[in-house]
Amino acid sequence: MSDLFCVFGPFGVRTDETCVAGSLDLVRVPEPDPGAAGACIDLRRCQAGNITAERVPLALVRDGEILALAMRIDAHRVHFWAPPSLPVAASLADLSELEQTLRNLFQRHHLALNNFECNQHFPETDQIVTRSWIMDRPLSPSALLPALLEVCETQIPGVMLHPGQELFRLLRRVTVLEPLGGDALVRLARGGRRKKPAWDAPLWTVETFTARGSIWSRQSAEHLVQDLRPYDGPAAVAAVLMRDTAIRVLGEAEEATCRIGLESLETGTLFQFDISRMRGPGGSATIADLRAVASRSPGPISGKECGALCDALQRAMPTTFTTRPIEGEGLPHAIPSLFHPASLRGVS
Amino acid sequence: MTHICPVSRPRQIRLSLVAPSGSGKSTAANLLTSTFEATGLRVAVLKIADPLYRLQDSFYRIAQAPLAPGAQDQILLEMIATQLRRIDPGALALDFERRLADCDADIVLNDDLRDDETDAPRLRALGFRFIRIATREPVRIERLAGRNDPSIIEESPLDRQIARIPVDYAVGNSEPGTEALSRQLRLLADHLMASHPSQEVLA
Repeated sequence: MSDLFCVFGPFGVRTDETCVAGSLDLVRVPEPDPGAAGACIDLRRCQAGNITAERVPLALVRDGEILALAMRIDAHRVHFWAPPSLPVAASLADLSELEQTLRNLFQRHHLALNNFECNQHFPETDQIVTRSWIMDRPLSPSALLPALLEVCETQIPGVMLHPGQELFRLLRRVTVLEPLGGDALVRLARGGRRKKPAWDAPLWTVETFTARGSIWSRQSAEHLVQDLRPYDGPAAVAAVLMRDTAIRVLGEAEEATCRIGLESLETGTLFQFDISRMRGPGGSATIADLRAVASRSPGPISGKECGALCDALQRAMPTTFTTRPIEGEGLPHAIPSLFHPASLRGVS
Repeated sequence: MTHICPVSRPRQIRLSLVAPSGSGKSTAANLLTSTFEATGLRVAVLKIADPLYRLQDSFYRIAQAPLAPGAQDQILLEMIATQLRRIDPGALALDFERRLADCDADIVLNDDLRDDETDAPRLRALGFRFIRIATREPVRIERLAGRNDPSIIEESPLDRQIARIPVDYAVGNSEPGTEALSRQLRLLADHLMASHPSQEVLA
């Protein structure tokens, strides 16, 4: 196979602004790593030089033909995407024609190129919860956040805040249900961060927990659409419409979550670090979860890397409160204990 | 000295089936009645709207118009309920409470709760647990059309209040036939009987 080149040029080519003529150049790059939405190239593996506003990656070309457009540029990685419906490949005589062709392509596909998160698919069911912590005292995530952000940004080697997903705040009301005749608990919350099938289609986040001894484990998490129009209704109605099964409503809890997105500089693995405070009829609890969301490298997510990040986060937790990390087959979750006081929290 | 023998009897289980019209409340009430009676318990069905049905019958009698047994002229019933509540918001709940006090059945079922502001809190205070019958909307509309009621309100303001009533249990009733509903109600009945305080001592 002939060599693959990355076209570098002014950022103004993406936005169809006037640029200095003759400012494109080609850099030989390694074959990209396959990603969920397209190709991904680690710039540290080629002699690309520094990225500036006058010199950003624009496209991948091979044998004079454009293969993909640069979608998103992270600290060290460039994500490329080939439009699915329109031909990208164009035979090019010289670099001046290349620049105009790229301008046209960026204009035509600017919406898809700008929607990076929509092209990246991170189903929560595939997320791996690597470790959970239950704080000994209920604490507000907002109060912890400044210290935690600084720790994640500066004190954990090999990790950076994930651009575009550094911080999310979620506030929602969750309903905890018990299917009769079974031994599971279901946690239901309206809404979710997934794209909705239609603009007015209500989305529900449904999590199922089962007990093994005194430890409750989350078995599944999925996003389902259940329209309750024209009357709306409580979460219990959505639950039985999803699955015809008799349920008992155990109660509702308010959940406030701060979510920090982290990215491994070594492998590109994306992590979510959640601090949640839940208040239910049985009291309140603060838990932290570290989830491995997706890997940008070929192969599975490295367990060793996950463990190292867990240890670093735990060492970096503020010392004003103690934490109890919980591990084991099936990680426990604090929410069931708010509704079943007889359940014991797992202790390492 | 008079010796009083303590007599024990089960406490009454009080259940209210909550759902918009056409969801299958009456069907669920019949199935639950059969399930409980099969265990030897006595079941009574008390309707909050009993006075409304009596007034509906009076309207049709005066108009000398036929009305099939059990049929609901929803427009008329809602009009009567609205005016009755205007005169006294608690009238229906008070009438219901009087009939409840006279009822000594083991299980009391109600299947026509709609008002979330007055009736629902009153029934909650009387020890009722609320069971929501959930049906997918197209199925509910189809059932309403097949019921031959003299008038139908597909999106009733009163039905909207039902959405605000907090529920303790829920069952689904979107499948054709009654097998799926019956299975869920049997589970519910078993759970209620197993978890209900079974005895109170009367001195």
